[in-house]
Amino acid sequence: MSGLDFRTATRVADAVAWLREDPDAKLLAGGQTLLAAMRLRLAAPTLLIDLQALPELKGLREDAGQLWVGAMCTHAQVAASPLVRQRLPGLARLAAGIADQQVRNRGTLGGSIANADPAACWPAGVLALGGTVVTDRREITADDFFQGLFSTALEADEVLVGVRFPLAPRVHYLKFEQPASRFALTGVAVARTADGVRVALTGLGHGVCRWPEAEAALSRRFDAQALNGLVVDTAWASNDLHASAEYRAHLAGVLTRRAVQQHLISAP
Amino acid sequence: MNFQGSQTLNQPLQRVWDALLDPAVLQQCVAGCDKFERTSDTEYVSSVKVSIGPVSARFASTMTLLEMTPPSACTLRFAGQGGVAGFGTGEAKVALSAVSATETRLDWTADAQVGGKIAQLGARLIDGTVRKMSEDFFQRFAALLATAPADAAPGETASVSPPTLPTPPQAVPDSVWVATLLVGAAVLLWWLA
Repeated sequence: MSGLDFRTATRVADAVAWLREDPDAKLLAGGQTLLAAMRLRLAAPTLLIDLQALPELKGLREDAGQLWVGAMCTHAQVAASPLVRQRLPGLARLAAGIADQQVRNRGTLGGSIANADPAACWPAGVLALGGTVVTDRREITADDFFQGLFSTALEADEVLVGVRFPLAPRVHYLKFEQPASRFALTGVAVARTADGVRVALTGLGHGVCRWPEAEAALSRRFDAQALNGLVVDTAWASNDLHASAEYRAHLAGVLTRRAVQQHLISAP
Repeated sequence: MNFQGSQTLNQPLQRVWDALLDPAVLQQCVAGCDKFERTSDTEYVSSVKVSIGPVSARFASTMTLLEMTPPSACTLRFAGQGGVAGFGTGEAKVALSAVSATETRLDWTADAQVGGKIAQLGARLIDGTVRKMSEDFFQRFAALLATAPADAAPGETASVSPPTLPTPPQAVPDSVWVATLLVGAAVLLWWLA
């Protein structure tokens, strides 16, 4: 860890400028992935740019009929927010179910989606709800933002500011946890939006993705039977010592049905 | 661990074989590869910087050609050393077959062993990483072949090589690269499980 520099950005423009100066610089949000990688000597950035002091990246509010969540909001803040619990309760539950309390107190929405771990929870929620990712220079739809395993539309010198969620949809997120890490072995977010149903799958192994066949079937008829005969292609899922591709694909179908049932039970 | 994949390329068999043996082509097809040197008739060393998610490490690899059956098959042994991240060794086989005069199917398999920190820390990302890196390789490979069209007619034999890319007599086929990268990536990402 020799030669590591640490700077706290007080303006977004500073963070962008420092990223351009040093190609081995890394933004530090909650540090729940990056610091673990550094501790294991699997990452050795020369500069850490702390984002904690940037007011633009904080804040959690209703804004013109949408929910604004700053990139530096922690999972715990989202989970405890009366606004989110009242207006988008499925999102508060998603945040409340991430990892453990210590991780939730430090880990952030922005850090999670910028990292785009293929088993993370936030990408499924953001994608199912059709959120808009806002950066220092542009707005990116969730569909364009997530590009597979640890890949996003973010450029090397781009700073994620926050995410706007539409407030009208309802969402339910369910995951089957890998018991040690509490990452999703498979996770499913089902959202009912004005434009139809959106289903996002995480944990399959190649990055968050939508399930178009299930969306079409549920948009025609919203009940668990509408999914009969639909299966997730095992080519979307990976094999490892925790689960086979067949098991993950099967879980995705089961969890989607359960999420639909939760929608129906909790519908007003 | 066993990995495998296949790819159909819109190029004649001989042209694919030649390109696969061309270190200049391979270096361009592997993201982060900044060194590729031949140390003997059958041995090569390379250096590749791999960055996936939060993890980045430089891998020093050696590759040895074991069997060559031009223009359709080869077997290679590889060993990659990623410093504190860990190491990987294994063997890869690649087979080419002509689908038609202008299409070639490439099948590869690799059997790899991983050790060190990565092997100790988990496996959930290996499969996805292997797929991502091999897709990335073939995308670049196909694009490179498409931008350097062969002036030779399809079906011409052995000595044809891509006009813009010099082809040394022997070089490391892409399967080695893919396999090496896979092992490297596996090593790098294992810690996250």
